[in-house]
Amino acid sequence: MEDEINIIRDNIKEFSSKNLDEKDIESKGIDNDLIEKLSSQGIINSNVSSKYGGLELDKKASMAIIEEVSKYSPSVALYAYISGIYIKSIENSEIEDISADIASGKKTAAVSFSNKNDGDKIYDVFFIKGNDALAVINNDLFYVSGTYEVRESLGFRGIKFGDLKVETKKKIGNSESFIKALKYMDPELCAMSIGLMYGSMEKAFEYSKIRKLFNTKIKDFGPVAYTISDIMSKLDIIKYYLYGNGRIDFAKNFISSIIIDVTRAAVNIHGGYGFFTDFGIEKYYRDSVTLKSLGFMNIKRELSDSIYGEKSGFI
Amino acid sequence: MFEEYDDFRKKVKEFALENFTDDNIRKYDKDEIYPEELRKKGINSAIDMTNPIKIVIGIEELCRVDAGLGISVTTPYFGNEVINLFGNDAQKKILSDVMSGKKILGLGVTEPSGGSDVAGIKTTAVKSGNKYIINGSKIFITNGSIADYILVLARTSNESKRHLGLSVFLVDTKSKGFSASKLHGKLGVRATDTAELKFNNLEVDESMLVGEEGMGFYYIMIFFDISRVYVAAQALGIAEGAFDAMMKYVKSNNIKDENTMFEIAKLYTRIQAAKLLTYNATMNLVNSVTKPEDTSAAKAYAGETAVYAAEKALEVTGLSGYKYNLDIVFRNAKIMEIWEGTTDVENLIIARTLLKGD
Ligand SMILES: Cc1cc2nc3c(=O)[nH]c(=O)nc-3n(C[C@H](O)[C@H](O)[C@H](O)COP(=O)(O)OP(=O)(O)OC[C@H]3O[C@@H](n4cnc5c(N)ncnc54)[C@H](O)[C@@H]3O)c2cc1C
Repeated sequence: MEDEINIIRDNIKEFSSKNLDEKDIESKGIDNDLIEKLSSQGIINSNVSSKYGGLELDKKASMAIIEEVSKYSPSVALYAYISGIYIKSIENSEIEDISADIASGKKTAAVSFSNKNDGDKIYDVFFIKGNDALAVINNDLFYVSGTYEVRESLGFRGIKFGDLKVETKKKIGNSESFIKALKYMDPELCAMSIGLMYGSMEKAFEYSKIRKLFNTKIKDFGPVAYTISDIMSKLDIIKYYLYGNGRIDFAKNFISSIIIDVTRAAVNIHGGYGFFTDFGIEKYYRDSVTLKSLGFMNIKRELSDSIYGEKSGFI
Repeated sequence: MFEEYDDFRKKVKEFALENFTDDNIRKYDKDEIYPEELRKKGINSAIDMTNPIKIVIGIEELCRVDAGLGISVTTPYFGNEVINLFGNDAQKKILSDVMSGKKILGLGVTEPSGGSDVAGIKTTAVKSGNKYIINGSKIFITNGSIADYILVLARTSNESKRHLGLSVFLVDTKSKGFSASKLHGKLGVRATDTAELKFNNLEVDESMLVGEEGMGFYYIMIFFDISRVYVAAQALGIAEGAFDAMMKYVKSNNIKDENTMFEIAKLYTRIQAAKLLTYNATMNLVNSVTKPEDTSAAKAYAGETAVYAAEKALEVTGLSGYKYNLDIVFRNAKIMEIWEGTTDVENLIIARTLLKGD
C-alpha cells in the first residue's frame, strides 16, 4: 500500500511541477483546461464513487494527492477539497447526478462556508465560475443561484471568493449532510495543510542553504537552522497522526496550533524577499490564515469533546 | 503615559478617520500607488516632527487606522536624523525643505546581497578630484522612486574590519547615473513606495559626503537606534488597530465564551507591554539616552505583537475579518518583523549589547 501511495505521490509531483504554477493560477484563476486536467489526474475525483466517474481510491491515497498538490498550488488543493465537500454533501439528494459533472470537470463546485446565510444572501462562497453554490441556510442545505459580489480573498487567490445575492434556491437536504461532508473531508483538509506547510518550509530550507550573510550561509545560524528543523520534526509527527494512527482530531489540533507560525517562519527566513509576491513564499502565509478560518475554527471544541467523551469547553 | 499630548493624539486620530476611509484604504492598497495628496494634507496637521513624542503618537494613531497610508505619509522624512546629527550646512538647507514637506527623502542601505549584513554592502564611492563616483545598487528602498534625495551608504575604502571604510552621501535623485525602478507585488504596506536603485558612475560633490569619510556604519547604526523607535510605534498602532477591530466584532456579535474573553485579555496585556517598551524607548530619545537594547527590545516586541494581534483578530473574526479590513491589517503587520532589522537582528543587538558589560 505504502509503495502504491509513493507512486501516486511521484506522479502528482511530476504533474504539479509541470502544470501548477501558483503565481499564474493566483493571477488568472483556474481555467476549464486545468479543471479537466485535474480530473484526468485524479485530483478532484480520487475519493468519488465510480458511478460518478470517480476513482474510489483509498482515503490515504486521496490525502497523499491533495498533500502533494498543495505544496505547489494551495488554490488547486483547496478546490479539490471544496469539490469533495460538494459531492459528499449532495450524496443521495435529488441533485446527486451533478457529481458526475463535477468529478469530470464539466461543472465546477461552489460552497458557502458561512453560518450567517439567510434567504436573500449567502456569504463567504469559494467558487471558480459564477455558477450555483451549496449553502446552509438555518438548518437546511440549499442549492442556490444568483449574482456574485466578488471580493479579493486574503488567501487562495486562484479561487474566487465572495457573497451571492440569492435569485433562486432549492432545498436539497439538511445541514447535517453538509456537516458530515466536512467531517468526511477532514483528513484531506489536514493533508492539504501539511502540504502547504511543507511547501513553504521546503523553500525556506533551500533558501537557507544558498543565502549568505556575514560570509556564512544562513543555515549555519542557530535561530535559522533550529527553526526549520523544529518545524520539520513537528510536521513528521502530524503525518504520523494522519497517515499512521489515524488520529485526525490530534492532527487537526496540532496543525491548527502551528500552521500560521510555520508559514510565517518561512517568510521570515526569506527576509525582505519574502515580502514580495515574486518570491512565491508570502502566499503560503496568506493561505494558512485563510485555511485556519475556513476549517479549524471549532477544533478546540471538537478535540475536547472527543477527549472528555462528552460536551465540554462550551462556556 | 504622554497624557499631556492627548489633544494632539485626538487631532491625529480625527485626521486618520476622516482621510483614511475604507475606500481609500482599499484603493491605495489595491493599486499600489503612493498617496501624495494625503501626504500633503497631513503636513502641519497630523504630522508633527518637532519632538519624538509627537512623532511616535502621530505614527501610532495613523497606523492604528491604516498602516499603508499611515506609513506613507510619515516616511518622507526617513533618514532626516542622519543629516541633523552629522550633516553640514548645505545638507541642512536641503533638510529644511524635507522637514517642511517640500521635498521627500529616502535612505538606501540594503543591497541585494543582504540587508542584515550592513557591512557587507558592495556599492562603492571613489574619490575623484572634488567629487565621488558612486557605482552599485540598492534594493527595497522606501520612497525610492518618489524621493528628491536619497542618503546612500557606500564603501569608500577597504579596511581590515569590514564596518570601517563606509560613508554616507546625500544624493540628488535627478543626478545623471541615478535610476529607480518601483517594485510591485508587496504583501502589505502597498501604498508605500519601494524601489530598486542603480548608481551608474553617479557623480556627487564632496560637499554631499555626510560627516566624516569612513564613519558611515556608525552613523547608520546611530540612526537605526532612533528610527527603530518609530517602527515600534508603527507596530504598536497596527496592534491597537487589530485589537479595536476584534473588539468591535466581539461586541456586535455578542460573543461571550471564555476562550474569546481570554484571547482579549492576553492581547490587551501584550499590547500594553509593547506600548510601555515603545514609550520607554521614546523617552530615551527625548533624554538623549543611548540604549540600543531598549530600542531593539521595543522594535522586536512591538513588531511581533503587531503580527500576533493581526493573526489573533483574524482567528476570532474568521472569514468576516475583511469587513473590518483585517485582511489588510494582517498583510501590513508582517513588515514589522522585517524592516530596519529583522527580529533575529534585533535579538542579536540586545544580546550583544548586554554581553558587552560595563
Ligand atoms: C517593503 C520594504 C521596505 C524597505 N525599506 C528599506 C529602506 O528604505 N532602506 C533600506 O536600506 N532598506 C529597506 N528595506 C530592507 C530591509 O531593511 C531588509 O529587508 C532587512 O533588513 C532584511 O534584510 P534582507 O531582506 O536582505 O534579509 P537577510 O538579511 O538576507 O535575512 C535573511 C534571514 O536571515 C536571518 N539572519 C540574518 N543574519 C542572521 C544572524 N546573524 N543570525 C540569525 N539569523 C540571521 C534574518 O533574520 C532573516 O530571517 C526594506 C524592505 C522591505 C521589504
